[in-house]
Amino acid sequence: MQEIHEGQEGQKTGEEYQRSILDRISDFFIEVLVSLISTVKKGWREKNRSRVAEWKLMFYALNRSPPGVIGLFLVTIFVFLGIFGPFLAPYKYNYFPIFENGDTYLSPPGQFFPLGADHFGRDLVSLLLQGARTSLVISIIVIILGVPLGIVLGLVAGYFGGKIDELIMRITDMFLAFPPLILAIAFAAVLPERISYLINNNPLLQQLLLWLFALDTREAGNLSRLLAVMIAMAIVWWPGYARITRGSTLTERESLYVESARAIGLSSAKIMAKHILPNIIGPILVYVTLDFGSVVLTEAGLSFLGLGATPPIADWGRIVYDGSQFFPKAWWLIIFPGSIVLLDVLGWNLLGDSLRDVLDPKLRRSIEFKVKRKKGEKT
Amino acid sequence: MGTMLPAITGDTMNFDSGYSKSNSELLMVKNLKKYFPLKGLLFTKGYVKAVDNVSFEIKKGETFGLVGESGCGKTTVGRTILRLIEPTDGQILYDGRDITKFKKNDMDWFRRKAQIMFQDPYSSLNPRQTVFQIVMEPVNHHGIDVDDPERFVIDLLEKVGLNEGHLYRYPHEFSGGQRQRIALARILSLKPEFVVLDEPTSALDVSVQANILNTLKDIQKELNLTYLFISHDLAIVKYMSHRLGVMYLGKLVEVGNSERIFEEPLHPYTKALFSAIPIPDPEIEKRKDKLEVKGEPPSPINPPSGCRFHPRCPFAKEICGQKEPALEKVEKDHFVSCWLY
Amino acid sequence: MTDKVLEVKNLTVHFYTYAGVVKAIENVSFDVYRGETFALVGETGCGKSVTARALTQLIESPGRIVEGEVYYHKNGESVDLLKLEEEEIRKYRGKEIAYIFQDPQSSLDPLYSVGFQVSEALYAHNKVKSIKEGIRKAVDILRTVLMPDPEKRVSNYPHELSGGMKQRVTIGIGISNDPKILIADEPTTALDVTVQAQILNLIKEMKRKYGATVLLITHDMGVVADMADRVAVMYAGKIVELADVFSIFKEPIHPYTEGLLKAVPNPLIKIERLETIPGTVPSLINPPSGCRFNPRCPLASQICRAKIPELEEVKNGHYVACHNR
Repeated sequence: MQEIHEGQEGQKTGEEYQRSILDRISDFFIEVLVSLISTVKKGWREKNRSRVAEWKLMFYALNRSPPGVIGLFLVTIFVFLGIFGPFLAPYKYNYFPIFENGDTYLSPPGQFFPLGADHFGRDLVSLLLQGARTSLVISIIVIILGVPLGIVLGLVAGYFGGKIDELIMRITDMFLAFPPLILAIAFAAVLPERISYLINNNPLLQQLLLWLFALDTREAGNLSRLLAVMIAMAIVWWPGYARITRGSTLTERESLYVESARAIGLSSAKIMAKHILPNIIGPILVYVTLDFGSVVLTEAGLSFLGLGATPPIADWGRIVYDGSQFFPKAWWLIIFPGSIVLLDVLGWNLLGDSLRDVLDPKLRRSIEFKVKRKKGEKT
Repeated sequence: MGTMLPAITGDTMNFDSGYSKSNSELLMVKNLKKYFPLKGLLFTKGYVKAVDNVSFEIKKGETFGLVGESGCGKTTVGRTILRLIEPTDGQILYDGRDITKFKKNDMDWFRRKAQIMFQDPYSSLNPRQTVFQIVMEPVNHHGIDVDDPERFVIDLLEKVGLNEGHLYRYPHEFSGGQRQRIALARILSLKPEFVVLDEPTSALDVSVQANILNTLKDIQKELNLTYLFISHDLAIVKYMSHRLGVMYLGKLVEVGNSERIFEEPLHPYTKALFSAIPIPDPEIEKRKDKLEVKGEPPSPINPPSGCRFHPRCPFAKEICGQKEPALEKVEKDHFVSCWLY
Repeated sequence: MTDKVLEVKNLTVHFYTYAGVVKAIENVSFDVYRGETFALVGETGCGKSVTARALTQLIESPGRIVEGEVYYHKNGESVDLLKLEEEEIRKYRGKEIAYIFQDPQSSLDPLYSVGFQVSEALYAHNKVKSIKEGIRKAVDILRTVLMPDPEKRVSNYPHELSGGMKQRVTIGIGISNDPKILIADEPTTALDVTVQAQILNLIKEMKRKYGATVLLITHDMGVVADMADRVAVMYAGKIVELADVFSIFKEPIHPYTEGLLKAVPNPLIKIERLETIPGTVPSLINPPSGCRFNPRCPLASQICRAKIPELEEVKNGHYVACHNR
């Protein structure tokens, strides 16, 4: 029986590919990550050779799609600014130069500050950097609150089917029937009072939020509106995830490996968590990436409508809202934050679109082949 | 066509797989029924009688072949026996215990004893798990202690013709035949007694198929496994099984010793089926008389009255359309359900 | 038996994929004689279907017929089918050379009645003046392919018919223009054995009735034994052995043919153990040098790895591509 060795496949390592500079960079980062994990968990590298090779291939594929590279670049920058922005900012967001120098009032770019100032004389660069944090934290929290709820409901509905499916999906439909922005406006208008009570009674939560948004303790009173916006958005965000999760679950449920798991006696919960979820996470991840952009945009929209962040908290949407009163004189208050939102949303969308290709096994193979061909082809 | 066969000594079991040593029944299926409801807008419109009153038994250490064309219910039987599909009615006795009445704890016990290998190796393995995870999953789930998991999995892989180098690979890195071997290693990890093989080679090319079938035979001999071998390919069933059941439209029409049935098929459907398989030998194939049956299997939603085969049967009599024949014994270990006998 | 109807010379088809150039078939040459059933046998990916399709330029992008000639002989004249323009080859397809494909489900259009589809085939080659007349003729055609109740069935849509009946319709479309050559590409793979027997009989019947030549593509050695007069065994894009059906089964010469025949279980014989061929089919992007079977061959030697064996006649009408014979 030992003579059987069907197929010489399975020797896929990065070596057979013609790597570009980008590939080398991504390989380097992956290697660093793998070394880090390996020092914590002994033998991890040996056991996950195939997985690491897969990661590398995923990046090779991504590297071959220019929009994807641009998207990844933009997203990396915005995530970096989101984390370190408040520390990089030359001035604090709640420092008001206007009290010291009246001329800073709506001073144009280059006069006092490189990108000009707002009606409090605050440096626009600092505000934008601080706003990056606000935007990133809100997006992450909305996704963290909304997505798992949608995934769980979608999994349960798709896996069990029948009456449970009907019930969950009708509720989902109800939420989907409301225009999301209007629903969010309604929630954002009603929620803050209840939430301010909650925040005032939970100093720990208050400290956490202040730390997340990199705000001074002084701003504690303004937190409730930010939180209200996040909760409102999470509430309107999950139904989309319930939909796509249910759809993918329906197809995966029929696969033989699910039946094979049932044949060894696995419970429904385990089958969903260990077998179905890992196989449908790809499309969900794509959706999450694209949604990051939508959340940024919606949040900016809500702030522009006067909901959400209140001055002096820096928020891109809010800056545009405030600036709109002085337009067209203070054009920089509209153009710069607007462009920043544009770039951020564009980044997430470009990345999401090419992730869709990269995570789809069939499409990715075709991209991989492009990499291989350069070396293998002789004719 | 029986004349072509080499003489076979009576109906004694002369198999060399340790099969003749124990003749006790491991599995007894009694009047098994599985009806799938056809859902209308509000009410059930009717039933697909996928399996209707099927009874047979499988002895310890043997391979019981279940043959039939698509839609005859053979796959449903295989899954119902493992309760992957709940039976509508009937008893399934495993080691004398009725598994249809099992609750959670007993089911756990049964799941360790009985396993299934699927037809399509491209969808039966979770693409996100490594071979190691795939093979260890059943063991972990049942809380079985293994000293050295890696060694344990490597031993199993070697048993089915794979090797250590395959341990941390993913299914997509393997060919169809190798995937079936991984599936086999997973099944064997629980040291089962009984395995349902649901067309395990129908997605594979002949040369790979031969490999897998040989491995299955070797493993059976080594571990004294009992197989239920489901297939539409008579030649393979003949190669694999000791006893045989022929299904037509949810019914078992003939059961018995495989050699005997191949030597002398009794039911007209079995005869037609045997005569329809092309023999890979032109000297025989081009000269043999063929018993051609008319038409195609009717739908199991409204099966014909009486004997379900009668509209296509070249020997149909009046009674065949009126009354359903019972599965009757015609000789030792040979049962047929036909009014001709 | 010297009346050649089809002469295939050095047919080579490549597929230009991202992975590289897939050499699907290389230098395939064979002749088909008038009135015979010629079978192309082999396992998945050996190039048998590609060969069949290439005969009438039915290769779609990214595939391309790189080289070769396919001479079609009729009334003393011969045409190279591969040199014809799309317009001209269309006159041959369906009329002179008809196809029956594996999956009747997808070769019939679900939007039209089967009568219309038969009629359309007739109309395309000017056998009838109108579609309406064609539908009347379709009834006769469905009757010849032994469709039960043809008057009623003409107005049925494909989904209302069973698999066997659908395959009867595709055969009906195939024979509707009295083709000289009928190419049946795995015509019974999707069908059950009892239905397979019916369809195979029907093909034999049609062949007798219309005197057509049949080119049968299959992986099933049993079907070959039943149907074929001569057989070409293909492996990894090349013909490795070509002979009449009795010689192939009785005295196979190429080690691959031998292995293949031993791996197929014969239901009439008690087999203790099936023999197997070690290894798997090679990638056609970088096929093994020399004989493509050499990595799996028990007889492989130095020359097998170095030189590509040519298909040579070793006995009367028995061709083999192997250095060891």
